[in-house]
Amino acid sequence: MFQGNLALAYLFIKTASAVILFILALAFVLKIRLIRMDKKKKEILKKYEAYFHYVQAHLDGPEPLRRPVEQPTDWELAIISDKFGEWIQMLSGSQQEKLIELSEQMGLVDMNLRLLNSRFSWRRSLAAFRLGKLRSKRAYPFLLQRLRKEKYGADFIICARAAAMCARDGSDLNELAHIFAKQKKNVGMLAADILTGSPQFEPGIVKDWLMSQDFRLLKIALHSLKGHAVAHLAPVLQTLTEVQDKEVRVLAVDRFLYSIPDLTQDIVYKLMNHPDKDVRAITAKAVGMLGDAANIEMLKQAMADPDWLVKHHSAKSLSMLGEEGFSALCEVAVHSEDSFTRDMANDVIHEEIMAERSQV
Amino acid sequence: MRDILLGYGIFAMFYIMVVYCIYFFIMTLSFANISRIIKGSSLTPFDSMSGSAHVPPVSILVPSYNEELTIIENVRSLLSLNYPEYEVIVINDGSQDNTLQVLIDEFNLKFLPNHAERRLLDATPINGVYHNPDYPSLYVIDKRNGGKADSLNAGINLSHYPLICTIDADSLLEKDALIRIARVYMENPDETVAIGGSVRIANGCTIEDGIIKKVRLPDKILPMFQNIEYLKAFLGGRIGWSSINALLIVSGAFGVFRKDYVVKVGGYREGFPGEDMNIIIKLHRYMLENKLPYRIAFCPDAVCWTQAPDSFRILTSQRKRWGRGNIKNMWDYRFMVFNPKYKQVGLLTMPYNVIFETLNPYFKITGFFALLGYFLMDMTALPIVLTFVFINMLINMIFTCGALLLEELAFRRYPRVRDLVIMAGCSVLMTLGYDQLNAIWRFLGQIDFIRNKRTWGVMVRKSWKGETVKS
Repeated sequence: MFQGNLALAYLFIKTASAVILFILALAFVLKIRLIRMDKKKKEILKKYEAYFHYVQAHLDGPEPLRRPVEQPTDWELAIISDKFGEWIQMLSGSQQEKLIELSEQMGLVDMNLRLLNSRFSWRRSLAAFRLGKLRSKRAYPFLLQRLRKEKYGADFIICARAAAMCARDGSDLNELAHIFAKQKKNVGMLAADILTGSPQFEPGIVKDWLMSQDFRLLKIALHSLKGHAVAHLAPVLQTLTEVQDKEVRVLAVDRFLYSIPDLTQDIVYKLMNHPDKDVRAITAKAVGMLGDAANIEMLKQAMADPDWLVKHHSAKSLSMLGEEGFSALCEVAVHSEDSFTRDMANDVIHEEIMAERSQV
Repeated sequence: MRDILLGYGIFAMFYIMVVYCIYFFIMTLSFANISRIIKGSSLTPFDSMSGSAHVPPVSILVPSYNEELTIIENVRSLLSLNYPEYEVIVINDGSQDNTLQVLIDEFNLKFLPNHAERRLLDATPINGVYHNPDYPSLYVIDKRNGGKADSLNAGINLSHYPLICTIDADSLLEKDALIRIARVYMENPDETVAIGGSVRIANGCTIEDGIIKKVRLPDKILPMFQNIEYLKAFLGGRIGWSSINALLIVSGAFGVFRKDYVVKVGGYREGFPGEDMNIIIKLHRYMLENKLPYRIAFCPDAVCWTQAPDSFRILTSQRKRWGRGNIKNMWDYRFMVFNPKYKQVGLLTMPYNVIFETLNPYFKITGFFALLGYFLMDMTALPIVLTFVFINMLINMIFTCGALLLEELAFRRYPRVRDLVIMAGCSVLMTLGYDQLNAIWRFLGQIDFIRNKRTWGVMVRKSWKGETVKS
């Protein structure tokens, strides 16, 4: 039945064989190229070994670091750029500044700035990545320009991270935060990771963002404050604890509780009776972390909360509030009318005893 | 009879052509997305991210049944991941060996009654939780045997974080596997409900303290074939499917999920294999029925290494189980197939899966007999039959070579030129028997489904040092 098409079949076999050979040849070329590149990289690192030792040995001295005697080729510059980039991330203070200065003098920044305008997106992204590692303040406007052209995706994120690392001051980060806020996706977490990773970041710069009506910018601000206690922002944060948007509200409560210098029982009471169970749970947890024994009675009451997480955090917090808190927890374990609440208290008591024995 | 055979032949030809066109389309999508993947995986500062306060915390769930040989190295490797905040929850699913005891001994764990268990999902009641404050991020749940899905549900009940990561107890995560997945999640956290990682074959690799020290190809032929099969499925297939948000499976060996959505869809299904496909279908269904924007992503540079079966008996058992899980899922969710309400999942992935995966063994087996019939009834000559078989082989090879090229472009886990030569050679050998066996195994799995067989099948555990135990 297929005889009439046999010639066609043979043609197909030839074509398919050619395609297979082509794909395999390409794979082999890539493999061999990579092995050669690795070899070349090792050779370059060996060639500059003495120079790298010199740089490391003179990072502390007052005199500026000298460039290599011979002008490195572009290939060599790329390898040196990666090496210096790694060191710059690890160093700080004057050592870091000296190395940043040397990178500039050696032409590493210029080389990557040229590549930033390449026709190939891979080269552009690689150049942005390297500039970020080199922390070149001069590169910031160029990175910003490139960032404005990119759609949200891998290239955008690489460029934004590089721009944050090269930012000259807080206003540059402010500019970046607004660019992030324009994206359609909720990028609060990622933007915060990028912005707070910048050497120019300090929590105070988010104040204006917190005042914004733009929820995307608000989320970036709140995420950026994670782990920071900023007393002067506490009033602004308090106003955000009642907003409709769940993510904003929960983040605001968390940041507020750790920022407010005098957390009164009234505030705790209000938050512990909030209709949002996540707000109650965060508050119960924070009370224990902050170590204020004045809230023991409120935590005892919260152990009757219908939400498991609120109960759990209340019990844990009681166990963190010294002997008085632990006694209150034991009281709940014995006298609570609800058997599940008693079990919860007993579980936490058990954990505490175990932790104590482990310390001993 | 001749007319029937002829009609079937024409039908089978079209069937094969459509399968290959879809394969080609998906592989093209994989190639189209590879540049984005390379940039994300190689130009992200994972070192600094793994110390960031903004990376979401994750609960790693490790369901374990008779895993005494591998569990310690697995847990040790999990405890040393480059990730800022996570916990490891091992669920001892009523093991009959010493899984629980070796964990207690190794980590000096103490019993916690955990009476006030959180019941987010239905699961077999637990006997208790083991913990040691010196390993604050490690918890071991002890429970009666209830299956893998039940164990995962129990793990979710104990978990403290908003993301859960499921991993098999006979697998090892690369140190930065989780942070790589977190990168993908952070790009779009509101819409991402699940992210799958890549699974690779560890047979042949050098492993020390639960870490892959040297990557080498398997030295036995069966794991070698599976290695190529996995490359083809993960690189050639899942990158493409995920780019159109039509991924139907996130491997049970390594995947990350939003806990709130897993709870909303009722958690993992009990009593049947294929729970990894089942949870993804349920997530698709829930999100599409509620008209919620979502994505199920794939992160090929997040790698988990697993032990591949190296004997026919174990491999047969595994593949029959997969076949059974696949048909069970397709049968349970048959209302989604060709249903426009379920968009690309209902109109493309599920029909593809039913017609070209579930029914594939029937076409392969009957196709073989049809070819035999053509030849015996003198409807065609042997050279023509051979030509037809050869063309099939070549097309399969194109897809395998495509996957090898993707590997070389983006991941390059196998460092030597000779690795590539061996894989290319094995891709030819695979078409001469292994692919056909796979069809038979799937078919047998479907027979098991009809017979309502519910057991997990034969398993043999091997330690990373080579000791073996049957269960």
